[in-house]
Amino acid sequence: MRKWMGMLGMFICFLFCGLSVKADVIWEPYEDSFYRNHWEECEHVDRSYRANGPGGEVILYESPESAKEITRWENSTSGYISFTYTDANGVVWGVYNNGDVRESGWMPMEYMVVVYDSISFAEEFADVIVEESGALDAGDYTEVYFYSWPGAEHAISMPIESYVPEYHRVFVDEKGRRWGNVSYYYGMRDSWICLDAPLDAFYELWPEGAPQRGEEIPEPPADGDWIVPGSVEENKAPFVALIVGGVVLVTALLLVILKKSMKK
Amino acid sequence: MYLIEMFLVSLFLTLIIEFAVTWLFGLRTGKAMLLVLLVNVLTNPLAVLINWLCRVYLPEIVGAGIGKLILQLVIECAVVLGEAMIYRSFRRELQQIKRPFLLSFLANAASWLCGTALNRLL
Repeated sequence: MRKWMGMLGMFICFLFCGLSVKADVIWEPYEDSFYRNHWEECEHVDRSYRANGPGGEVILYESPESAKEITRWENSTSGYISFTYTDANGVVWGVYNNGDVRESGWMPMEYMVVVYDSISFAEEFADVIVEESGALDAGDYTEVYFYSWPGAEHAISMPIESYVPEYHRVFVDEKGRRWGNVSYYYGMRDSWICLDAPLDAFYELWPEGAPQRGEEIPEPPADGDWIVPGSVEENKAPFVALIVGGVVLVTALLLVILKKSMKK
Repeated sequence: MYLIEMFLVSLFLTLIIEFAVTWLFGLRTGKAMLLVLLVNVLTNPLAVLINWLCRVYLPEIVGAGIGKLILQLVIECAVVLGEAMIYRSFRRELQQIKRPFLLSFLANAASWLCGTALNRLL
């Protein structure tokens, strides 16, 4: 008995250990009931997207199976999409969740354009980025600028702690400077440091402005091509209409009976 | 689940408010309250169904803003008219029903306003 209890205890510990690791690694929108029921079918995305829908906006719905509208985003509004779900019709839906149910919902990813990021950069320059490992020559540096990609305006200045940042991929920019891709450094993931000028901020690196990265935002789809979580709702419509029709008929009959009974 | 909630919550809230308004109009007997119940069971699910179908099939027109408001008002007008006609047909049987159109208008206006306010708050 004691042996079984011990094994049960170990099993429970194992379950909870797994949960805590998962929660530590990726954030999940557990407030969203659709996500809770379909998390196994959802794909982790973890990127920011910009609205680019027909008619100048994108509608956020309660779920990929509910046409209940939560809110609308004007085109160019951007938000963090944590997971996507592909419905039975092959439509990919992304979930935006900021903890407020009045602002969180699901949107068709066809109407979203990814905000240029380190993944976009790696894809765009895949043929010139080379595998090369090394560590930043710390020298006299006490802090270093970490960029999302070489040419990104926004950077985070980080003090060099007990160990120097290590890189595993190198990119040579338009001015011949070498950049190293750092997978992880004190919470910073997939960022770039300029190996030749790690202390330089954006305006020192690119006084005339950074070169254009990525493609221009495509034209939004034509008006009228709206994707609605209708696949399921539309399938339910005849059934729901039939039930309501039945209720109406029975109630009308009861009203006639009530009227006759009151005449007597 | 969402659909069941949508129909039941709407009917439940409408019944509470319309019972209160018709009570004020003197419809307090068992048969009068049964009439109010049946009238609402007849019109409310139909109104919710039409509203939902329009939202599913015509989201770009009635999904939000002025289109949504116009759709709701058109449906409410039809409901007011329908309920008023039923109440009027019961005038002989229920002496308390003196002004069926006013009764129907006030009952539905109250329930629509409360529903709109609740939607904003929740």
